[in-house]
Amino acid sequence: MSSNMIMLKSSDGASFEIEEAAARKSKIIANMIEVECVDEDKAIPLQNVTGNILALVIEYCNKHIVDDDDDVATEEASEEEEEAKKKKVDDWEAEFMNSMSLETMFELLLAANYLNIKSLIDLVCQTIANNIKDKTPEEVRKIFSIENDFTPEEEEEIRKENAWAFG
Amino acid sequence: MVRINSLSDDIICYILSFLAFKEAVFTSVLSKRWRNLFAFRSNLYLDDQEVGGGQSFIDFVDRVLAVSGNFPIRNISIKCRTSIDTGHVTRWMSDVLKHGVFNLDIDIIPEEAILVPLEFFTCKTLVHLKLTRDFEAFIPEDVCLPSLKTLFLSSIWFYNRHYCVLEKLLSACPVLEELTILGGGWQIIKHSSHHVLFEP
Repeated sequence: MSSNMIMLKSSDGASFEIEEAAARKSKIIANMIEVECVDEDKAIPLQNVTGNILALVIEYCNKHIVDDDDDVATEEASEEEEEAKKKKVDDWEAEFMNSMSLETMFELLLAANYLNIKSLIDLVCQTIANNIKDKTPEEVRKIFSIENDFTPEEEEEIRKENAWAFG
Repeated sequence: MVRINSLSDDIICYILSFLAFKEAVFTSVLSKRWRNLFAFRSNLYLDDQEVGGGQSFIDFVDRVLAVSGNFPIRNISIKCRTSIDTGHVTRWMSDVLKHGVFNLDIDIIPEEAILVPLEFFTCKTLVHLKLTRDFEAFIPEDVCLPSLKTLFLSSIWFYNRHYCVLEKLLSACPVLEELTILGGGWQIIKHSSHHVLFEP
């Protein structure tokens, strides 16, 4: 496993050092490394990601690269060990997502999308979806600041069309 | 400030795909922008026991397939246990192909046998196809199902008077791994009155 370090630079000028293996979680960065667009002395500029969000992305990537290493080391781990490890990761992810506001989640999602980190996109989307679940439309509108631009008649019409989902 | 409405439609649809279908449909009432976003998901399971039978099921399936245009829906399942007019089913079958479906499961009780649309037999994307109950299929000369791995047919009637349809169909599926035929019928020679039945 390579322990090369590379530099990332956020849109607001903050620099971060990250292990190449962790940075490769991003398909975009992995691709840049493949085609040798990465100059060892220069930081990779990430125009669409601010420093505070990039720090979260790096925290996520570092955590998951450690887990991947564990996988290699304990290839023949028992089912129980696998489950325990999965639970550890799930717990870490739950804690990680719990610590941030919805606004931060949206920014993190945009960054994960831009950097193309599939597992992080999925984690954030699942967390946002959990905030929609089991709520009334009024509650969801309030949580996500969505303005209801239907007239009462239009809203009634849609409720009728999709009556089964509102039962 | 980034709000959910600053996200693109693609991303919102992807978020909604993490919800059960019923929960996603629920978001149609949030605002005009959200009205149809629930329909853009890669798995679509439509079941009349959930959606409600009769006309409300027909209207709902029509609407979902229409509003999502040619968005790639990879897995589609349509189940309806109450008798349904064949015209609707034929239309849905044409519509699902526009979505580049990989896995399709149609389990319906039609009023009379449903003619499988011709374009089914030249579909490049289908990997698993399951058709349950009362279908009729004319096997065209240019039949070609290059991706099809599993074919499950129940009560289906195949015909074309110019060749053996079973041979024709099988030779058009180069990667077929599993074939199940229950209570169907094949017209294998040029005389329309001569049939060979395969029973389970």
